[in-house]
Amino acid sequence: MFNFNSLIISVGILLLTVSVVLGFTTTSPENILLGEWSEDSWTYEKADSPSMFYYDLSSVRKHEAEHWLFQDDNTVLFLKEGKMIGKASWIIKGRGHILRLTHEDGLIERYDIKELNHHELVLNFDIGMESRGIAKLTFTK
Amino acid sequence: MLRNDITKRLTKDNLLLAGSTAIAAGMVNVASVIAFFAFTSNVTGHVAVFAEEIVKGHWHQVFIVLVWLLLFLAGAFIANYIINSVAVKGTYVAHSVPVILEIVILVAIAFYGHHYYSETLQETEFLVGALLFCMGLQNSLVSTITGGVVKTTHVTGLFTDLGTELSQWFHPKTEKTKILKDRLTLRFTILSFYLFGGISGGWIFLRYDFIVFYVVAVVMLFVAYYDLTMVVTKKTIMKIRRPAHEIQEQN
Repeated sequence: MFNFNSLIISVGILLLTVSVVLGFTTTSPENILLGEWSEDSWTYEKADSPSMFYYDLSSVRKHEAEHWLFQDDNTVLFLKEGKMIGKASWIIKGRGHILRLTHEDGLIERYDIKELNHHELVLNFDIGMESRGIAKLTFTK
Repeated sequence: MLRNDITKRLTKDNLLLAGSTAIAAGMVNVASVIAFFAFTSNVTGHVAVFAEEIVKGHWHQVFIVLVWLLLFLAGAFIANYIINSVAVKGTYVAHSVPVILEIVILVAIAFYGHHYYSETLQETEFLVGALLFCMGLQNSLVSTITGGVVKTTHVTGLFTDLGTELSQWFHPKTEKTKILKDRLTLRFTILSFYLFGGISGGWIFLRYDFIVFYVVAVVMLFVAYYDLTMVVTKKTIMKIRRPAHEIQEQN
């Protein structure tokens, strides 16, 4: 016979079990990010013409064909052709979907993490709620 | 604000409670968006994100958002459970306990955030969870006290009700009753105070970081303390009105 009380308790236990299992089996984005990532592409996703931008892109630091080395002391090294061309500190925020880089000269870059797994990292440059996704960086490990 | 239950509540009681808790919710939500890039006074967006992350197979994010949703639910559950459990000790006490619990958590968040927060993802996830618990607690408390008339932590339902009631107010075939006028006043109060809370919360956070959560705790302390001052004031007035010889005889 259908018992509503048992149904609610069962759903509750199921959700708690799923939470515990996921908690023990998933890896934090902070740990996945550690290591060296090779930048494969820098592309504009949503806009074909720079005239669409109302944001001054001259202040944006462009990263092209770089290697990013994320270290566990929350620093990231920017390498190009084997030489270090920059250094920043990194933090991940939100539910693990925002990457913030603070360069040594104080410049802050913020990216939406569109994809992060052990092989691929896709970042969308974020300059505000209305303009996400104007630029896309794709890395492989 | 907390002294009267559903049967005895006046419009003024609901307006005061709605205004003050809407300020708290607005402050918490905007401060957490700035600090953590996560909304904490509503869960509509989290439910959508939960589904999105399942589709994408981002299981850590699925885990985190699920825990956040469960914490909001737990906050709502606990507030109502406490109110019903402590009801025998009086309406004011029953309604104050969840408020005190919220204040304690907010103060803990403010203290930890101001002194120890080093912006790790784990800390962010934990603090967002704690704030969602607080907002679940507050929303359930306000909803229970007012019989579902007032909800202050999100504005989706508010805009729906406002749209419906504005339509009723302006429609030529519907009557402009006092109840409708009171409801509209209540909606506008919640909306304006939520917005005020959001702006002031964002402003305070950008200048003084986690101190903003102490300010929210003070707002909630006002909610808890307001009725207490009313009781003390009424007792004092009654004492003053009584003839001096009666008080001397009593002493």
